[in-house]
Amino acid sequence: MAKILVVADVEKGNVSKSTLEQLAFAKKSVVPADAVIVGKGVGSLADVLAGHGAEKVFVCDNSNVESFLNVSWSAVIVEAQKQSGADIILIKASELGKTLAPKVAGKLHAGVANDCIKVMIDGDAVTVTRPAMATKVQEILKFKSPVKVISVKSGLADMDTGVRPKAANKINIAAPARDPKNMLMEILVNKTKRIDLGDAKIVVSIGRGAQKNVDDINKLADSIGAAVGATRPVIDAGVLPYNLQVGQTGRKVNPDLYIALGISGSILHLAGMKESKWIVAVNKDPQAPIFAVADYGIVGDVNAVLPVLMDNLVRLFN
Amino acid sequence: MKIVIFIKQVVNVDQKIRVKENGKIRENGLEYVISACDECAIEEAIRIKEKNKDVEVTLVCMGPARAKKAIRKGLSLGADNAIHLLNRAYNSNDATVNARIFASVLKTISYDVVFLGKQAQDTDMQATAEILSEMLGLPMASNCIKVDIQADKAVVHRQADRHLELIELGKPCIISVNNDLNNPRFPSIKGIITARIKPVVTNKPTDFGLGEDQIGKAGSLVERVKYETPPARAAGKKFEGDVVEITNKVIELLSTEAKVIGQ
Repeated sequence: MAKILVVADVEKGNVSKSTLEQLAFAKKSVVPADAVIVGKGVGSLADVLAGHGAEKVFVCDNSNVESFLNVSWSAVIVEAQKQSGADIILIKASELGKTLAPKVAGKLHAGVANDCIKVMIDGDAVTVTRPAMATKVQEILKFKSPVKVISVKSGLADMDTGVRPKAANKINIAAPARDPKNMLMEILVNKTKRIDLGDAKIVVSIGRGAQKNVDDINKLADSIGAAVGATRPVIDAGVLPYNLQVGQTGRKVNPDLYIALGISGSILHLAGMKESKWIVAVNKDPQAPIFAVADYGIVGDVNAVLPVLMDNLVRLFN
Repeated sequence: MKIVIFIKQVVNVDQKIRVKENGKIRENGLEYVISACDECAIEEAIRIKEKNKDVEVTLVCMGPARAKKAIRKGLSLGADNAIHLLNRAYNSNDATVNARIFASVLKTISYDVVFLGKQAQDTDMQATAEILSEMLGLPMASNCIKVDIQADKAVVHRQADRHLELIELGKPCIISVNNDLNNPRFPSIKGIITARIKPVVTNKPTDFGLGEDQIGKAGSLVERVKYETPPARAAGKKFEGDVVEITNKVIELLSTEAKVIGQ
């Protein structure tokens, strides 16, 4: 009998949408689920997880695990798995989740698959679908290990709305001692107030053709609650920080709406956004490869299109 | 100081990749390259070698006979020697098997720092460095975009989701690197010539103490059932003409057809 352990992701002090989708997925699959939450001051979120269906919530709320470190967080999750007895561990496929999942798998001698877009549970058999080769193909993988560690992209299931928190069956997990051989010394660029690329419903993305419009695009994103992404050349030019790079080795996003501004559409960029539900592309070159994946293409100069987009979107969202 | 880099020769993802009816990749005519992140790892090691005395850079590459080309390129860039883990069925190894084989190699050679790419461009998985660190009990940081190797530790910048982390790892350690780490150079003529005489040892993956049941499909915890062609995106609509008019049209479609705004 399968059982899921959801590793909760916390975003700006709240449980992230991806985590709630994973709990909804467990419910939809009629598989019981526990959750584990790690961090400092996160204990109060256990009730949210319980409200969304977590039977037990394992909590490690301690300053030793305040910031992510693969060595300590993986130890907490392994302990939660042991106490829970869950055979399927689900984690959000963020940079954090994609390095945490294989660390946990290594400790548990479990199979691991990152960046999955589909999870199929049939009794004890678990198969997943995930993109590979810069999303040019997808692969179906079958687990052979008793415990399976899976990082999943957003959209696994529709999260329950209108659910109220309820008193969680909380189980505390002690934080591991700090490891002097693996220390986080400093967080260098502090987080912005903007929504994370992995959770945003709308992503506005900047290519070389829109590099000069970055201030306007930031304003647009903020007024419609969108995340901002960019292509590698724009990041390399120093216009935006590295964590906003969308692409094969950067962030892979699949928002409801992806607005590509001045992006030609290299294979490596497409690999990071092709799975978005709806794609709008603005580019002055009608032959730009981005138009091949765009649902709506606007052939025109970003300088001319952006003000019209802004006027309309800001009005619709406010 | 000894640096070991695990590199992978991968299908060049810039070309057309087709899935055959039997769920395998059509390999005829495909071109192969060093995975982008691995090439950055080589570049980083060469820069460390240029700045410090007594640095030895060893490449370890698992793959079929054609992987020799990737090894020669790595040597021409400045690596000192290489181990070729000749394995035709490398594509059926999962990350656990890769890590198991790499761990068995590392138990037979000395090293201070191990570099791997954050992910290989063919599987896009990102798991081998992490599992390797668990198998060997070594400190590890993933997705690094800056590396500074000091006497007793490595100081790295790890690109996290929302910020950059400065992490110190005690040596020996494992560092997985992003392709934003640096811009790899091209091989020089001298490099290409000297690469021909640099030592390359060819081994089987089982030469370091593992049994056949611990590698390949038999040893894997995750097995590929098949590849598929991803569902094609429905053909889009492309608008040309007066930008105000066509932009307004797209906004209208986003609201009425896609229903992603103005609901």
